[in-house]
Amino acid sequence: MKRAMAMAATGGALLVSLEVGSAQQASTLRFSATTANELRLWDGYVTSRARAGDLRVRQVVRDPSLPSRTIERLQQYSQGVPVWGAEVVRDLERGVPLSMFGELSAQPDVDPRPGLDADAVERLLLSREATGAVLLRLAELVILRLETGQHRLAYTGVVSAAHRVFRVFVDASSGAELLRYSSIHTQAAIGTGRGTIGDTKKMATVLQGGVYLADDQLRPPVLTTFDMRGNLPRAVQIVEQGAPLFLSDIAADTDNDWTDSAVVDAHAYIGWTYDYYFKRHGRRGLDNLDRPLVALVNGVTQQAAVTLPPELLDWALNAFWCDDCGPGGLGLMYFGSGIPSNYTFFGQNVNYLAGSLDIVAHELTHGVTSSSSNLIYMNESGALNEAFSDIMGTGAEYFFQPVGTGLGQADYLLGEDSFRTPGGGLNGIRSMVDPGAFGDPDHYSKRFIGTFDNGFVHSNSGIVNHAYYLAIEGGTNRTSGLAVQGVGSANREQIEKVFYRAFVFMLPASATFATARAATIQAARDLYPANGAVATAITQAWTAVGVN
Amino acid sequence: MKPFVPMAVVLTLASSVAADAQTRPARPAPRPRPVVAERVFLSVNGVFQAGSNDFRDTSTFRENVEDGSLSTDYSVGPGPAFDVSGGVVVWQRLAVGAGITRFSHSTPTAVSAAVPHPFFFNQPRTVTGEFSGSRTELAVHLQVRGVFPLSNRIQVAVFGGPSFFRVEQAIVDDFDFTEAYPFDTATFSRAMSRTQSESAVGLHVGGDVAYFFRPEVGVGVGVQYSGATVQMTLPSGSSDVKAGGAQVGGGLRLRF
Repeated sequence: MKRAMAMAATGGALLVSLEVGSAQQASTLRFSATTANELRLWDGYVTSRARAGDLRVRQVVRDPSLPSRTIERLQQYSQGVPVWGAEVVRDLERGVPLSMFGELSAQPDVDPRPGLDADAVERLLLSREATGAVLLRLAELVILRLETGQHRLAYTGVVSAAHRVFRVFVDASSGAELLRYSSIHTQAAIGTGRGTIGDTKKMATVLQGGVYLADDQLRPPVLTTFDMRGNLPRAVQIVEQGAPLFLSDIAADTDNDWTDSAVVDAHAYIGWTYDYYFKRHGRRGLDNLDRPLVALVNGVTQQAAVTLPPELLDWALNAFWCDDCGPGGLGLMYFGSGIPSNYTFFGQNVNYLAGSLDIVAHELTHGVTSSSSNLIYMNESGALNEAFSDIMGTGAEYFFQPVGTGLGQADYLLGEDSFRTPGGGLNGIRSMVDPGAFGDPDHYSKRFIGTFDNGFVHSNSGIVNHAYYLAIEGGTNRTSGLAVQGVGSANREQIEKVFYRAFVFMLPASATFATARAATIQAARDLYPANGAVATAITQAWTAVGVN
Repeated sequence: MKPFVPMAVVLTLASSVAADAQTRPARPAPRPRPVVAERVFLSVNGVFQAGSNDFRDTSTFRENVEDGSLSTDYSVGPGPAFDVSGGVVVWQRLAVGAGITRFSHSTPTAVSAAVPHPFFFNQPRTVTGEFSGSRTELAVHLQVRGVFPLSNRIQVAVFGGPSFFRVEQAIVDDFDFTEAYPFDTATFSRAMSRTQSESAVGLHVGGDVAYFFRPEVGVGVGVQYSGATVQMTLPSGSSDVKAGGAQVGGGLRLRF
């Protein structure tokens, strides 16, 4: 309990407020002295405390606007330990005080002997942060006044980790964290941006140093989009060799009205995907612990892409998640920029890959898989891995976008907003409705076997994708001719949850399609009535695609 | 001289009329009409202001790069008021005077806002809350009054004239809300208000019946309508706000 007391002195002009913590009798002494009487009173007090060693001059500066003035800052000490934030500022002219402002802690009753040494505390501070954390300020012993009014002997240091810089205070005996606050003075902001298909989105950004950065301060995890500005060698170094990312690498805009559509779509859609997982599945990001979400865009410009050697084409025409890439094995997503609109790749125009929500959610889902079932990225488990990314990508599309076949609309095509077929042909790169439309199998009997593409993981995923589609929409498998009674599009959430539960919580790393069938049926029974419509739809769907 | 009627007859008739007048019973003297003997009067009333002067304001604000809206419904309901008036008879039954009416009442205000979502366009969060403000009306009435004594004890008056209103109203300008990820909902935390004072000229008319149980002291009841329209600066801009209303009440009557 706190009680506040105001005491008038020197004709009522001087107010001293004391906030007294009843338990420890700790208090804060605030004063401001600007009149002769006040200054006489408080200068005497400060001088006496300084002689006793309780106040020590920390800084003496001159104010250029008033050259005759000298500003003294006196730091409060208690038993030789500085009291954090407790100081007196004295404005002097030829040694005569003209104003004084103070905020002191009265009698901090703290044992000044720490139980931990500074080295141990520094190790402790680093161990609690993400890989690659560094101490920008070494641990120093202070007395910290808590919000309760109590004082604690603490160590404080400044830690930089995952693009955040915090001042952290820990108890000098137990090491328990007492307080932390950001040392970077920023202001969360909302901007707008124009995406690849010409739509306008909101951008969660931060204003720092007069520039807006694509660094989302509103969602729980670190969510930062880096702009490689067409510097492919540097992008490669960062992704493949763990070269460091700097503040200057973060995508920036001067007026928070963003025009770089790759940045806009990557940054917004990663946020949307985080939201989809949180709202639909109650998941907090990649590892359910708000692992940082780092994305790289513009590794190569569209124009430069046409001159890339084949081995580097992925940097233009693909998107990927790499769990162990980036500085300190941070893990990151990369989105290619595509190629100029007058070029085609396998008969399709390729625009920014970040411009498709399902592609972004697909890549982020690889991070989810890495943190959960960690399905081995080859053969059937690899195809399951790919399929789960497609399924969640499609789920995110239907969660946020209106149903339809146009740009920015939800459908069962993958990547259709980025891969466009001139002349009105089939857009995208995969179809859940008809995998065969892109040459992918829709039935287990048609699966590809071989070593290409890690055992055709991007093709054989079509079998699983089609089962997912049939479980929702129902229909007949073209190969088996077996019909499925789907749950209906209004109940798609049920099938999404079944697949999420099975693929995140139930599948072993080397799962086969048959395992996936059993796990999803079990998940359906776990979540919904055992022999209800959901379990029936899932069972029929797997049977229809030949997975038994 | 040739009179038409002989002079003797005229004289005889005249004496006869005079004799007759002396012998018939006298008519009752006409009853004296009540007069307004006292020239100064004073009324002190407790009154009840009926009706309501509710008003609404809807404004827009910019939040999260999108327009939001703030609606405030001010409930200015009926309530007690205090009224004093006095004057002086200037001619026969005509008096001039002045009065003052003070009405003060709480104005519960419903605050409703649509706050744009930080991440998505066209997905505003609805925020609702209550704000307890107040309304004070002070009206100064200049009046012409007709005073009609029905007897020495009962007196009726009618009056009317211009009224000068001063209205103080708590206006909600802004509000605070709390929100947290995923920001799909937001919760009202407080309204930020200011007190605005505006003046306007209106009118008042009314009537009063008083019973004097002593020559100078009595009680009375009356009804009055006084009203004005003041221009308030609301978040949406300038707006007409009504003040006053029908008032009924009673109290002390003094005359001297």
